[in-house]
Amino acid sequence: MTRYISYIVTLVTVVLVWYAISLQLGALLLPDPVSVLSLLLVEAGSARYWSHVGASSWRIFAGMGLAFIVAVPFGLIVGSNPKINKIVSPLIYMGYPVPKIVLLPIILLLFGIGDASKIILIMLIIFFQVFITSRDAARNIPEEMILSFRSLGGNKLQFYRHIVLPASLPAVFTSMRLAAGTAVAVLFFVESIAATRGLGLYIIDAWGRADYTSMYVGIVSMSILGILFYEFFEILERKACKWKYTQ
Amino acid sequence: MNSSKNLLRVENISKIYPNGNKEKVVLSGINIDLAEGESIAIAGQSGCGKTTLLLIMAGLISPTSGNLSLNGKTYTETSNDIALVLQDYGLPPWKTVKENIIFGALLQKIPVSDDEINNLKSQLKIDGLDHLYPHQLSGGQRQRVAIARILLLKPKLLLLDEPFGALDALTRERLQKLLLNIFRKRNLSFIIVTHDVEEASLLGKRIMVMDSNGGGISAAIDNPGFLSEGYRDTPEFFERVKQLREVLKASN
Repeated sequence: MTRYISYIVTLVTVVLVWYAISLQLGALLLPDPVSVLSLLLVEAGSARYWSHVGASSWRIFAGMGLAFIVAVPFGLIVGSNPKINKIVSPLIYMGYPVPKIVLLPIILLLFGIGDASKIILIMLIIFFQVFITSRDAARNIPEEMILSFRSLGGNKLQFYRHIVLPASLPAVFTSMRLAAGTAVAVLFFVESIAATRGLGLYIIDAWGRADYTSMYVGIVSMSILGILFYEFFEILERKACKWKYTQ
Repeated sequence: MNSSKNLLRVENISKIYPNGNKEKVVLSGINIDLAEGESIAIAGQSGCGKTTLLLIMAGLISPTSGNLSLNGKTYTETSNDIALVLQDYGLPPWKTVKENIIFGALLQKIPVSDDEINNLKSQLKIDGLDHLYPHQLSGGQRQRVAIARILLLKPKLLLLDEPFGALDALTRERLQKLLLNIFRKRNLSFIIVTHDVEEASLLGKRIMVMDSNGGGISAAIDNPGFLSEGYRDTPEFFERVKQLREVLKASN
């Protein structure tokens, strides 16, 4: 409950600060929140708006989902096997610093301007963050926990199911929450360059037409999308890591 | 000792770790025979290799040389007949008390009835804690849960690594009594590793003292009266503590 109250307080504060700044800068540069939120409510009744929201949501969901499905098991296996880690880590250290966003032209050439290119780029960028977090979480399982498990006669599969996965989940969810922000930023960039639908296109299109109120509707929508994905992983964590939330 | 009753035999165990260009001898020439229903306390100063020896006996690490056998059969890996309790209890924090108690049975696919679990909880005084997580328990309760988890597996040999080391004096005393009661009732065999001379004198039918330098057993003391009622307050107990302290000092 306290979380929701603090959310409301933050939201009210943001709207008030936004309103104060809009009064200073003028409606052309920063439309006031009432105009933007009113237009947002109007847009919420149009199918065109929801097709942009739907396209962006699907791309983030699919990109993050793929990154989760691939990076978490891979990270946990590498982190709990020093021999595999020795082989894989140099490749990761080489691959991680490469700004994956520069691969955008190649990805667009290969996969076109549809959903696939956006999903693949989001997955590629988030993969490393989630992989490294999962690997490190698996590497940091206390030795005594492992010894205790082995003494109970568990096999390798049970080790992943009962020890490695739950021990790593809190860190994995933290990385997914942080990745939600990255995914929205990457998506905006890609949709603003090459897309026929999506909130990135919606924002850039409104900006091009100097329709700043619509542009801010797009910005608010994209922010809400980021918050919803952040909250989604927060809720998943609360469900999957109940022990962390008990006093 | 009657060989047919011998449960565990540790023969000439050594453990040597590479240390740069040299070698670090942690254990050398360890021999232990443990009969069914017997308890041994292994005492020694911190860093003398007690825990390494216990982990070798549990099949968790391999010795550099030597042989281990249980009921006459050589073993090199973990066995369902051997259970280990560690100082930090080894309870996964994401499992509730009930899930932790049945964890070993679940891993080994041993069917356990609710009655069996309830009896054990009642015996160890951990009823009503089923839905709590380990961090919501006291140190004593956590150790009881760890013991319940092990007892549910009905092991032939219990290995305990300073199991009560992190507990306050009164809780430690209560759990030592509890361990002795279980020992009596279930005819368990156990080996406990401890640096506490009183604990060693209280729980071991035999007390083995580890050399703090050479990694071997420097002395073995018989402690036949350890199961007698009120042993802790007898002159024999105080004498044993004094004797053990002197042996430990000499072995340092």
